[in-house]
Amino acid sequence: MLKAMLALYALLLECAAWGLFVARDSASDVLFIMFFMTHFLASASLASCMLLIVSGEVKKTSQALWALFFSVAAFMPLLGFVVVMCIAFALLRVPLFVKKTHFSALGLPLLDPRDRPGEWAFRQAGLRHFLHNDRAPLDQRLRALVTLKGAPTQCASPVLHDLLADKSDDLRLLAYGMLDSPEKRLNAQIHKWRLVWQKAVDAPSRRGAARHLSALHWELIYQGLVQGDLRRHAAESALRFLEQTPDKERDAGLHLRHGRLLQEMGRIEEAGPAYHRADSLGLPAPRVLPYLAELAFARRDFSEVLRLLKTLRAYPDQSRLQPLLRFWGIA
Amino acid sequence: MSNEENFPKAADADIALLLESTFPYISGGVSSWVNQIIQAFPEIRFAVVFLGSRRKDYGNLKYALPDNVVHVETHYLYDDLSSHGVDVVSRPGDAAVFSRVGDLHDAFRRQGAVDLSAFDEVTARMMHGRNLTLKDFLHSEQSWAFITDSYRRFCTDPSFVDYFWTVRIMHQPLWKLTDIAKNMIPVRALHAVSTGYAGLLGALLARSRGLPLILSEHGIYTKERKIDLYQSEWIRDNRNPFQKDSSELSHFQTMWIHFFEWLGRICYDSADPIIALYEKNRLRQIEDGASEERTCNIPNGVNVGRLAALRERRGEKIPPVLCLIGRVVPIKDVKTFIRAMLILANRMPVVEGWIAGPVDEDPAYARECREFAENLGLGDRLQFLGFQQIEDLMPKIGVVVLTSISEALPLVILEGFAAGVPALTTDVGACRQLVYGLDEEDRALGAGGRVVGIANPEELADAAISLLKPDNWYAAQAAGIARVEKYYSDELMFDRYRAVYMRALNHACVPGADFAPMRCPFGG
Amino acid sequence: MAGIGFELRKLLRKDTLLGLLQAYVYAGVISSGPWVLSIVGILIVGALSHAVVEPNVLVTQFQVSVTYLIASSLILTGVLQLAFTRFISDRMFEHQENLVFSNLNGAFLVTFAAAGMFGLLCAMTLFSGFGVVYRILMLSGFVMLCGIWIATILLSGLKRYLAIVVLYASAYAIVVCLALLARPWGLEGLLAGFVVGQFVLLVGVWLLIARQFHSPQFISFDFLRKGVIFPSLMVIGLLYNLGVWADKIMFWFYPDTSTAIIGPLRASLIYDLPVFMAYIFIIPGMAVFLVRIETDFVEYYDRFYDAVRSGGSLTHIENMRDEMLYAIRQGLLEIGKIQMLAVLVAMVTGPAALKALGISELYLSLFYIQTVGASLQVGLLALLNVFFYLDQRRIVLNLCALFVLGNVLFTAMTLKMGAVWYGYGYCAATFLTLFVGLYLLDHKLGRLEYETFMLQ
Repeated sequence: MLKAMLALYALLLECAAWGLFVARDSASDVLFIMFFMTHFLASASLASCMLLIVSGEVKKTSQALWALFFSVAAFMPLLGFVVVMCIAFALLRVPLFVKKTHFSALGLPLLDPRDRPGEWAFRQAGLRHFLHNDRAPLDQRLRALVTLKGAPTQCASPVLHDLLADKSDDLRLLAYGMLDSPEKRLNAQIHKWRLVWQKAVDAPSRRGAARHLSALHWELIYQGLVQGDLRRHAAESALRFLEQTPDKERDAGLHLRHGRLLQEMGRIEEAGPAYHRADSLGLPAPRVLPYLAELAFARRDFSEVLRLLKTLRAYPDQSRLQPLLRFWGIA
Repeated sequence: MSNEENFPKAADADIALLLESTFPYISGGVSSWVNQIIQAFPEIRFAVVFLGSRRKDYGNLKYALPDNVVHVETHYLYDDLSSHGVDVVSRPGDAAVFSRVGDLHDAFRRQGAVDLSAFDEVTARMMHGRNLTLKDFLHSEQSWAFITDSYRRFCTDPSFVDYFWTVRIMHQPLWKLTDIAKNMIPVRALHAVSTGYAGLLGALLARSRGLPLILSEHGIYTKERKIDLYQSEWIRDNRNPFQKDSSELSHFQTMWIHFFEWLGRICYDSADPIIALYEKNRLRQIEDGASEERTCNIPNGVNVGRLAALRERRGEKIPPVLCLIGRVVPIKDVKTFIRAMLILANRMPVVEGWIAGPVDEDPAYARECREFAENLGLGDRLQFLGFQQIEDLMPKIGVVVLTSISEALPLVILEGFAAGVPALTTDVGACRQLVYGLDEEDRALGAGGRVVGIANPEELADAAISLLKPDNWYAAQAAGIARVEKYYSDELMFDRYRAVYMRALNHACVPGADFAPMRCPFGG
Repeated sequence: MAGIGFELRKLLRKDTLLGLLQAYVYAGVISSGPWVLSIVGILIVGALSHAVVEPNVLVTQFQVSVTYLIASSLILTGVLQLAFTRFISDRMFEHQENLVFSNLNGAFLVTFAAAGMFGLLCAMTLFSGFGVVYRILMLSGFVMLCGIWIATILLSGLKRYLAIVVLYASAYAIVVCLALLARPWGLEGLLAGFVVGQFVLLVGVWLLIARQFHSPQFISFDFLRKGVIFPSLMVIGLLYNLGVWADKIMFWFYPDTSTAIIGPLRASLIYDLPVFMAYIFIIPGMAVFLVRIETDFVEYYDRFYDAVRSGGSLTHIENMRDEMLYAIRQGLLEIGKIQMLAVLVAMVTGPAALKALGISELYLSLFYIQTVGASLQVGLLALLNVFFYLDQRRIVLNLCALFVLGNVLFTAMTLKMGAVWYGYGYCAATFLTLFVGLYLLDHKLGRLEYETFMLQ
């Protein structure tokens, strides 16, 4: 109601302002002043009307908004009036303030080799001997040890574990630090997922967390960061969480890990079927066969070992398995 | 009394204790030792100069200040590192001065003996604002030329911005130290309880005022900094595989290590006597540049009489409690203790593990430890007790455990011995000497517990099982008591320090006395 | 955002003469579009109206009125132009795009209110006794132009050059059409056409920004907060616009060189037209400036600061600095070369052009020297832009002050010295400022890394 009245006032006043021209000499200062007084009143009414029209968050800045509407209407006579009305219409109808998302162009990433994790395969034997040689200068041994930072953790861990008993404090401490940080990272991850697992309300997210936990515990073993009872504890945990994991029936990788864990725990009879399931779900044979051969070896079934390894010959480029095949006289 | 304005102030004092991040804000072995020493010499008026990193890193006072501490000042080296920038204007800087700074750095880079004349000249300029003020370092063109030149000649890491900030952060506190040295109240002798920044402050004071400087080193400061640096992940390495010689530490790690080595070097050069806690550390000091004739050992001691009373309060049975006494910080390797507890949980389920020590120094690590224990599902078998009074704790526990990766001569083992508790420790610092004895005669007393390798929970668990067998335990208790009474009583330590102090104070009384090396009162 | 540099580089990559030409034409149009279109539009309106509008002085009155509107609004909004653009680009850098639109409205309010008050005051005092419609149109035009400058500089800060050119072209097409239709109503008719065109332009830029940026609020005044606004930029904006107009204003009000046109508005018929014509001859220079600064220089500028921030080696940082310096040198050199050509063309075509416009050949030398001065101004603009990139506000401030001072001083001297020297004052002022600026730039860039690292 008030809106309509204010709008009416505004219109009438504006008409009156322009109407003054009919009666007056078009070059007089009196007309100028009268026109602007009437026009300003009209603009004020229009601005007030506008304030009532706009709603929601816009209202918070009502004084400034009023001033803006007023100045547009007042200082650009006629045209400003029209545009303020248009804005009112826009604010009422068009979702001006709805956030649209645009695709933005991205530059091509530069090739930055720094970010690539260094993974070099090298022979660790020489390094190991050198590190254990306590007659070698400490400086060089330290440098040799630092080299291990570039090696995958599963290769470095055994060497580092040995060095914890070294005579030199510096060497020991560096080795300790190098062992500690990957384990620290894994443990932090484990804790995070454990909380997720505990707090999970629905079965799928709980199973998802269990899947992560199983993988993380296995990673502790795989990277050689845990020994003895702790290794067994990690294996038990990994197995326990694995058994809560969903979609196990369809995921070959999980069956493989299941088998590895069972084998780790010494449950050889159960491990075999797990490997076979992984195999039947389509895991490449070179990834499963060596473990089956290992099981056969544990059963002292050497002919089976030989048979399994022979089938590996069918798969080319098994460079990592070559020494093994050579040992068994197959390659 | 946590308010710094309430600290006592005096116009002068006898001995200034230069303390870096220990007494009275941090509790722990070194702090207790400082407290012990101050209380042992009520006739000496001490000034305490505390150097910390940032004010917010420290809580309230952990010790009541004894009455003979007549003056306390606290300084925070890393506070307001970046609070400048308001009226920063370029300035030319003095080329001659920076060439002397260059001489000093060249001297540092050369191996072997050092001529510290450049050091004296440079620090005098820093101290008295003669063309080498902090502003000269931060903003002058000469300084820029110096930094870029050093970068080009020596830096193996490509990132200039990291190099630049490493240099800045490394050097900026030095001006704070020269300021402290300039404004300190008159004292008759200096006693630094570590090298590092405190040691450098000692050297600055000793060299500029001609005062005797006593250095007592508990841990080896440079070694401890190295551990921090090896484990640090905050220092960046920007080399790519083509630039990287993978046998080298990141250049910035190396820079910091050299920096701390040189702080130690300068302090060793200015201090006499240089006191270690035990022989291995003394040898290490010599290796790090201390001249042999100034070094000596004074082991820690405990108040055997007071602690002996606790033996009476022990029950009949050996409590199946392993207690790690110490601050929950990475260097104590609390996690290995937790791992060992998991192993023991399977093999000897009655055993409990306690961790007694403040958790506020490194809250992140403390949280990590709790989470780790949770992950392993240890439940009530492992308890974090927080800080505990030794008197309350000792009668309730069966074994004092230390899993540290680095220690000096830990007081808790001595306290445990005195209170009749055997020790189970890692093979670090003087632990082997404390448990098994040093020389023939000492070793004859028997083993006061067990020593195992670091970060080896299996061995730790096995040793704990063995030590908790009554026969072994009682033998260890007897050996421990005998050893601490014979070699590690506080009277012994106080006597030795009394001689050190008297020498320094008497020396200082002779006006115009040359800074001739004093003979260390004790041989190795 | 894929700015103008991106577009240009695409064109330059074509690697053919045609591609190169395309790039420069494109750059020329977008860099000098707004004011060339303004000048051409006003000239066309004038030329086409000469025969129809009687008496002829009404056309001159229209042109002078519009010139005054443009000059005064530029100088007045100079206070806000740079400071506001800087505010916007800082927010863009922080990815706070949602502040753009609401602050534009805030800036509009401030501008409209200030310009409205000022305009009203002038209309009541200076123009007392004039036609009310004329006064209303002048007031509206003034307020709109002020708004347009703010929005335009915002858009060019956002590198939306093409949009600006399209909007200006359509607005001035409307101006020309409406003015031609409204010719029968004389001065008021022409002015009304101009005002409606400006209005369309204002609404156009506003809608363009509203479409691209969305704000949770409709209006806000973050740009006025202390610590966010740079007072030095406000002074610089004012001084630069003053500097550009100082000599013109002096010629307008020096009795020997000017005549009263309408009320308080005076104009210098001998000075103004050659000046505006001279500005048309800097289009090639502006094109080169845009290509060099927005592509080469900015590329190395970005790489320099990227290397500083993300750990480049010192050699790399220095190389980027050198490349930056090289790009600036090349850019200025090329501007110099192309403007030399432009001046030659001006000399060849000058006599005919002046004859066509009915100006005495006595003012030919004034036209030449103005072309040289305007060419130097392109160089100065490029230089100031580089200083803005390096965030050397203090230097820019001093240079602008020198520019104003030099322009006022030298122009006053030439006015005293006589007609032969007209135009040399402006030329000398731009030359002096450019020379000092180049010296400072050399000094600044030589120690850019030192200042970047050590003075923080």
